[in-house]
Amino acid sequence: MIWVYGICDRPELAAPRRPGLAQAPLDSLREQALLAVFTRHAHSLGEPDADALWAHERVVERLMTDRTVLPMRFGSTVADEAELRRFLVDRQATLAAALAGIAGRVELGVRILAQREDAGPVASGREYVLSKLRDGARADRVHEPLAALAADSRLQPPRGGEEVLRGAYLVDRSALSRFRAGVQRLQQAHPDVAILCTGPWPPYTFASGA
Amino acid sequence: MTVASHDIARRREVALVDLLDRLLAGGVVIGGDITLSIADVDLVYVSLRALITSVEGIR
Repeated sequence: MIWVYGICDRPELAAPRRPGLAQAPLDSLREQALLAVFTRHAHSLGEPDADALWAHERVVERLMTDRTVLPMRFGSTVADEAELRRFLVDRQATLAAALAGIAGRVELGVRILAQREDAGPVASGREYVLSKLRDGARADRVHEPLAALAADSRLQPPRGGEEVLRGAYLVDRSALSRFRAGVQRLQQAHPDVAILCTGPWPPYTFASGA
Repeated sequence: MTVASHDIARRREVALVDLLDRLLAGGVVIGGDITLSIADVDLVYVSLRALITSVEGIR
């Protein structure tokens, strides 16, 4: 079985000499302008845990240091190299276009948590609707200025509880400090919420359509 | 738990939730061959959250 970490540009660059999951050494397969980086495994890797997630993530982050990478979803496997090559050939145009779209850019995650003063059972449907409207307005006031600082953005449905916004922003590396300063400014302007900004991440959210 | 260690634990938790969002729901998918189905992903998510909670409890 082959576990794939990412599809990269600059195919002349070999895979870094470092281990991936289960300490297996990284290997790579080139197909024209694309390079897939992977590890080989004789057995199934068993139950995924947090360490395995971080191991996958660290490989992608290492690749990001000297090339553009479309990160694979965790758990992307193929039977063998022939199947991997078929995938690269079949999706060549889509993968190349997606790589061009994320070149020089990273993903930042932003979540807004609002403390609820009115914690406890919701008294009425009307109050529930009003509180949802307040959440939406609060999220817009943060999302719109951040989206203006980004090349692209995606909003995901908030998970409920304290979360009122869950967004991903594709940001030019050169605009990273401007984006972070924007987050800080918005945090100061909205002390009633907590704005959590993580990253830079590999652009997982913006690679999912490729 | 001191304030500092609580902050670090909290930050790790924040990063892990963000990591899960990306690795399990984003990224390029090789058609049909994903080892984790959506239901499995939900289970992984739940068990990792349980793991975080238990780690927080130990500290």
